[in-house]
Amino acid sequence: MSEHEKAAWWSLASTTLIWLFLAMRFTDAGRIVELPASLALETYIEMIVLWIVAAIVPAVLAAKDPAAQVKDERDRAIDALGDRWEGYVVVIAVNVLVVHLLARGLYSDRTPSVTILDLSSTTALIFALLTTLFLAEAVKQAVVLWQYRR
Amino acid sequence: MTVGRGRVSNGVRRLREAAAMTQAELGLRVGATRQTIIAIEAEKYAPSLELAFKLARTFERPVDEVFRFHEDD
Repeated sequence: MSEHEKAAWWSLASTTLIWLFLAMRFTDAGRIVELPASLALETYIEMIVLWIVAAIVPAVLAAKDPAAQVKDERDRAIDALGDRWEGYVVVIAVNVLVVHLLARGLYSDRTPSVTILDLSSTTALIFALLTTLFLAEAVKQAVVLWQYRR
Repeated sequence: MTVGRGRVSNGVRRLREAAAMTQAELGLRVGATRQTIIAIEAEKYAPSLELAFKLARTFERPVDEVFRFHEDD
């Protein structure tokens, strides 16, 4: 397994764990709970710190063997494919959120026939946006790993 | 006119073994990782033109002797 593949596994695992931490704070029994602004801010800062730590650890380990970190054309092509898929996820998720918000405003007098996200609170919106970023990162690393392992 | 999809096959493994080179050594000579050489030999990755030329030059063969393009019907 190459160092780049190990880094992708690390990134996927750390992304998943940090999102679980976020979900633990923002949800209860599968439903988004309204957090006080101070607790939401605290959680957000903790998440950023965790994300920075998760990014620093592989960088520190990589410094021990710089030669193994050099990316060749295949690594760059795989990264580019991962970035492309990350972009797709962000575009799709942001548009889904926008359509939800618009639909809520336009059809507020109707009862939806399907389950829709309740984005009426700031907490829900923050959680949805952060989840989009985590999902995009997870999809990127999954695509990278799939490309390395196929 | 339509252009069909194609497949690139190669004789990198055969030529590397004939030259008594390891995958890591070949990778070092052409500026690719061992994993990339493995992927090329398994025909799971088609290298860029630049890398294809470097590989061919390493084996002192013309590119079209190392790499073959098979066009699907």
